[in-house]
Amino acid sequence: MSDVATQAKILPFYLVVDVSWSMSEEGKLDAANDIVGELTDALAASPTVADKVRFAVLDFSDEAQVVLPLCDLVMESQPAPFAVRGGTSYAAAFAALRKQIEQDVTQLKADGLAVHRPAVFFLSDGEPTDPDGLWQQAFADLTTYDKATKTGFAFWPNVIPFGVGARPETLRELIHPRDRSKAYFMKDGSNPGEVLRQMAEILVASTMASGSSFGNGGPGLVLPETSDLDGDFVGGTYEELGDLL
Amino acid sequence: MSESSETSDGVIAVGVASIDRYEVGDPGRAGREVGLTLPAAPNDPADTQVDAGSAGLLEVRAASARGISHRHAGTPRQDDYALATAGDWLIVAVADGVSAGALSHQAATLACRGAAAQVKEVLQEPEATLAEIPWGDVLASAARRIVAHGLRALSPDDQADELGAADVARAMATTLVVTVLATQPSVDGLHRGAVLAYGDCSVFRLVEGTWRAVTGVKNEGAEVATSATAALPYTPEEPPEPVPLAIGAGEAAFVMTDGVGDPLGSGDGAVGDFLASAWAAAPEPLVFGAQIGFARKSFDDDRTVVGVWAGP
Repeated sequence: MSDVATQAKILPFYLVVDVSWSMSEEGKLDAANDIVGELTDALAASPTVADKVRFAVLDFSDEAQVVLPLCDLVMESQPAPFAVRGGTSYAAAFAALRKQIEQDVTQLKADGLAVHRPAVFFLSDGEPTDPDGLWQQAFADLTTYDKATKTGFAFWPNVIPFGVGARPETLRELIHPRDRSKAYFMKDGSNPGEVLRQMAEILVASTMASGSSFGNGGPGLVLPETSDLDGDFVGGTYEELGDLL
Repeated sequence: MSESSETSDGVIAVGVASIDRYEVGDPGRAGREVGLTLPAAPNDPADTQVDAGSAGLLEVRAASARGISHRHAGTPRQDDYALATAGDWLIVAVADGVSAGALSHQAATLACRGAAAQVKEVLQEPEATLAEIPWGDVLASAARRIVAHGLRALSPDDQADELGAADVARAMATTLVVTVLATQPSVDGLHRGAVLAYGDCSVFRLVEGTWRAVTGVKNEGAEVATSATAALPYTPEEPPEPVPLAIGAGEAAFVMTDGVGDPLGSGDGAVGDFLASAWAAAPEPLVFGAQIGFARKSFDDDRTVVGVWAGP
């Protein structure tokens, strides 16, 4: 009877940002650098959500690194700005994510916290530079779990991809789970920096809505209705985007 | 509880003179920073509701209070309870509206009041027994009431035929637990009864300071915690099976929503210790109302508990 966690409820979020060279163009990196500050402001204004939400920040190019370990953003000093380097290895990002989530959730559970399913905001502006098949395998390792045999990754996260230049067909494959999560990507001819700012609003709103709902018996992930989207980007579930592409 | 003190000319405080606010461990930023808020609309349910009384040899305390999250957002309490007696039976219904629905507080009220009334009607027949309660129909009737009300609420201008039960379920859904307990003990000294729980409300017994789960403990053995729950107006595919409940003299049973059930867990933590001590005997009603609202970091959901103490 003693494995039910009663210390506190926790909803962990992972912000994963592409820092390949092309991110330095058209204001994309500046927009990405503002996201953590905007999240912090929103959480500072909402103590009920801030009590339950934790954030970690990772960046990736040819390899991935943890920029900010999982924390209460309001209590931490802001991380160093993202800096560009190298290519776009999705495989490195997914492998680092799996390692970090496994480590974090295991520790939080050991501390007696009721950890709810993590969510990943994945921001990219380009196609993976990995050899074909490699990133797909890394994504499967991050998101696949068989409850009956307990094989795979039990702490698999909800993944919400955001694209400013990456191919929509590729981003759509990163929606997980396909029936509940959504992807958002830039419309052709839009300004990527501006679009990323609009997407950041979705990301912040989703964090706040998810954070206030999950403690009240609501779903662990709340994303805006696709029909409510208003901006230079489109979004939807795997099925909705299939009709569009 | 029985002491009294003279506070000023002719005014005597009998029993508790003040009601404390309770914190169990770290109250969190929300516990420190979010204060009380007025209802947003005139017809919103009360922030806090308390009832107390006795039925036969049972002493009853009931309270439902808005959680910090709904106070902060200015939205209504989505928990509710209903109490009834019929012959030698006490009927307790508790419902927890699912947060995603804007009208879920109405679903919770409809479900617990309707279920309590339906069970009362069955049990007030002379010689009625627990076996006569049509549990499957209790859930199905509550679901029908929610759908009928939901269609009217969502579509006031008679366009209801364009809407279906799924539309109502998105706008208003609720868990429900119904507990029936004999107000007089059997020859073996036990008050016997039954519990039907649909969704994540729970029932515990408190026996010599130890919590014993009557219904399943949420998230026990789960790899990650979830707040997803079964909820009306969807009904279970299999006919629901009530579980038996029995308490002896000096023992108590508690019917609660997950607002208290989650921080209580299996009852072996700090919240379990606090409540076991606070509820060793039936408290003053308003004190009970304050106790269910204990602050604890991240546990900001609405709180509802109906406690039933078996007297000697």
